[in-house]
Amino acid sequence: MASSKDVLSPTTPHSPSRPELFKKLEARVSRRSVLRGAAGASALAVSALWSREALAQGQIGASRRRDPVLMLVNRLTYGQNEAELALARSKGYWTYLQEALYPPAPIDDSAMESFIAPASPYVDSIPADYPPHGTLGLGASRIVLGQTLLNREILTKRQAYEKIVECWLDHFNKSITKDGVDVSLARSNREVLRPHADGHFETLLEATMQDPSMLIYLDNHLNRAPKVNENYARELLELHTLSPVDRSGGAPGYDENDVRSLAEILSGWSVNTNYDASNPASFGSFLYVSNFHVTGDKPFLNGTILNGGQSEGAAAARAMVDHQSTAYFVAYKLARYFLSYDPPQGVLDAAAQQFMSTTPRGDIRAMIGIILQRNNIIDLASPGGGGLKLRRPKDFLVALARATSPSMDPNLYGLHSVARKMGNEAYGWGEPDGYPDQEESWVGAIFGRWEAAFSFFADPTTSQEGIEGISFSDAELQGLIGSQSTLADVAERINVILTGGVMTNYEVGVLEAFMQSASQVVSNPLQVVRDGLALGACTPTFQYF
Amino acid sequence: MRTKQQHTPAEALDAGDGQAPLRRNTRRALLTAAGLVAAPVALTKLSLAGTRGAGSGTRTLVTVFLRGAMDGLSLCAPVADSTYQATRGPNERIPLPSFNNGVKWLEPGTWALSAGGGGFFDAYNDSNLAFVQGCGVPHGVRSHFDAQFAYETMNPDALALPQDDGAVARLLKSIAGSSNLRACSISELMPRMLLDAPKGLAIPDPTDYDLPGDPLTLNLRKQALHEEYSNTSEPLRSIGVDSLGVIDLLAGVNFDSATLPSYPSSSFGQKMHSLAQLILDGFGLQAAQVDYGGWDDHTAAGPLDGKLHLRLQDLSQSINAFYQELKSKNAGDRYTLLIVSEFGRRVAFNGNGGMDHGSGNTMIVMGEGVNGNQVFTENWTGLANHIDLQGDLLMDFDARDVWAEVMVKHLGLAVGDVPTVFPGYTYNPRNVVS
Repeated sequence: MASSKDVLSPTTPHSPSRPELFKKLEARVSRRSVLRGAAGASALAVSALWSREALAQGQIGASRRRDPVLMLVNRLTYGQNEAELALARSKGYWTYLQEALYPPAPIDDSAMESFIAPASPYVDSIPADYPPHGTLGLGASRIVLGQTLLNREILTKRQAYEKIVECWLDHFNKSITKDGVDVSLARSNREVLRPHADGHFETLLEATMQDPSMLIYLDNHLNRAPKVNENYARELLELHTLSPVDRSGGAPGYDENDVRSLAEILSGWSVNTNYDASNPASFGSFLYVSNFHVTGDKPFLNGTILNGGQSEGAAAARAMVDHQSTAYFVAYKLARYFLSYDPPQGVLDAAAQQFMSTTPRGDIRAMIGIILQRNNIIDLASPGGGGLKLRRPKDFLVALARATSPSMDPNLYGLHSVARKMGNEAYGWGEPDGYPDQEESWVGAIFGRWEAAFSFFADPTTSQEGIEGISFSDAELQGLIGSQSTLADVAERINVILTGGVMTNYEVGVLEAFMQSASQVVSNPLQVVRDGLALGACTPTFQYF
Repeated sequence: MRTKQQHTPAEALDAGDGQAPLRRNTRRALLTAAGLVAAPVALTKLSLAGTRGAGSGTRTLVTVFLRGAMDGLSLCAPVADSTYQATRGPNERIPLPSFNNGVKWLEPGTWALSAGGGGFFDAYNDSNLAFVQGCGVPHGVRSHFDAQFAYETMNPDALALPQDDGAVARLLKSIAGSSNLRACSISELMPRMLLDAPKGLAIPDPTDYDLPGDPLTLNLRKQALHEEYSNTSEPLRSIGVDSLGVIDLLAGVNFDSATLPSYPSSSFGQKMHSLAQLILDGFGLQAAQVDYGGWDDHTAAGPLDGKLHLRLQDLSQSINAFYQELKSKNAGDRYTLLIVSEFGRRVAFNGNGGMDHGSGNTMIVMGEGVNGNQVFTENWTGLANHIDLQGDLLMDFDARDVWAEVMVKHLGLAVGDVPTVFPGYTYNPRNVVS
């Protein structure tokens, strides 16, 4: 390993007169662009290189940003890193996509599993040890659960599967902030969501309809004859299946009468809340209470669900997944999550057709395979192609960790707390619609990312501002950056580490200019690199994927 | 120092017990010791110092959005109405005022304020607060999300006419403003009402807005961020550049204030406290929003002593602290505050002590210049005449009448620009404000 002196020459700090180095920035950037042979040698043209609008309008020719393999990796993982990108390049687009969705052999994820093992008493034994609920109490289990999800997302080798899980965590959102959900969520994830996440939507839907955590979250465990509670039935139609907008262009598929009927169909679908020490597993399990069920035939979605007690639920589920609005809504949600904010209608048509073509309905991996066809990725940057997506705050943190591989302490929960501070705590969204998946909701608080980035790379030996459980020693940092001869090379190295090398020339020039200036006033050259990495994480390019 | 908010157990673990993720308590001290706070280094290319604006005469439009549909009939209730009494049971309805139950007449014999809403009474009594009953943006939907979309875009037919920027953002595009921070959501997220607002940012905690790291390189890092963001495309360019400018602006705001009554230690109370200081500073904030979630009371609402009562108490006491502080500092004319929710709840309770989704709701308007001490209705003739086929309070008082009137009379919106802010709507002031 190279010593830090290969990277930067320490200089004596002197009183600040640094901005003159920025004056040279434009000239430097201009030179870089010429050296790289990028289009547009003037500083202005360079500064326009990274422009989502320009990209979407197809104004930029062979931008590296459009590398389909890199874009695919960023869609099937929580963020590229050098190893993943090299793997994808060696396999090629189609093979990488195929193997991400259908691994040719079981994936050994034991490293991740053992890393999260310290959390397992809280994650895996709830609610078996409820009421004692461990020794930490509810607040602590919330922290452990949240951090455990982050750790999974950073470390799992089943990245595509974990992305699918998150898509459904949002689609079938349950908030850990609600009493009863907090203690049932871990079991629900383990027994309901994760086993069905990459199977068929119909199967997943039926499982969620008997998910105690969901029934508690949307009050259906209390839904009983004669005065039904509409809460779950409404969201089941609006958020989980048909949605109010038919995305094939048809009329809305349901009305208030369907909400009412579905509430009656699901009356008596409850949860066992009697704790029996001799049979602790029965506590918190699904329970159908026939006495609480509204009897009689129910009109539903242009048909009738015949009086049949608990079996009415399966018939209603069938009616919902057979509805075109559901096929299109699920196609839209998957395409929006995996491809772009505004997926082309042709992509929705193809994915919805795939949804309808199987029994049970909605082969999730087959739909994602259609959505992520190579042409769709290439078209992203074309007019009407949908454009790039802004990383949500949690995903910003996870992508940063994946790109840089800090030392992580399995017993500390700082990253969770930062995600929470940024408004994106795992399981923390209160409403049933899941965290917003749109740029404009999150972009207004960009400052929080800057704070997080500088904390992320703080020197654990000198700073009190770091993130608990995340650290880079000087040696680790040196290993990450490698041996570079100039600050320009360090800046380019940061670009490769964080983005796979697709920052604009201007951004890389800013990193280099900053490090030149900072090295005049900071005695520790690796501190300059830390700040350079943080500024790299702050670049507009790193915010998008 | 400002009062620290009370932490939930989870927050306590986050913030204390050595678990704090960002151990930043000494940063200010370091900066001060290094002499860098008082003597910022001049930058050659540009000034990162925020424009404070000539804002002392600015009025701030404050929106408090109660997400999940607050039950207005548990706040401003027709307590003597026979239909109200017949539809809601003894534990479901607000009782007639008596000397010891905390309920107070708003309009004797008709409307009363629940005990939970008691914090609103002082401002009401000062004629600085009015209720509007049976109110809403007439969208006709019972979905939280569609209704919030319709409300925040002020477009009842939102699905047919997609215009997805917020109504308050449109207001700011229609009036002048010079501050670096014209609109602020005290939140991690931009609410739709403020989406695309010029000089608009989401700031979860205005009292904690500075970059970690070595003070020696702070200005260099800020300048590098400025370079990164001023050379990218919208919306990131404006937001990035504005965020940098606001660092200095917020550093100049004094957040240490102690007034009585004190603000509740709740998250909402502390946000209202921060907001009061932003308004008092006078840097030119024109619009602010504080979202308050969790009003979807489908079960065990408890309007008299349960969770709904406690939430109303937190809401009204926080607003009262805000009201009293600004009043005591002669700043009661620097804001107009609107408290709204996407729709109301069904008049009859469901089988679980809660209420399903309804329609018309209560709106609160507060500030000097509000024609307070009254309950506005659309020709109220009793609940029986103001209930729809589903059993919901009619939404017959168009909330846009109030919003537009406030914007025109208090924020300087030209009447001719009303259709820009409210698509397809004709200005119809109801004398809710002067």
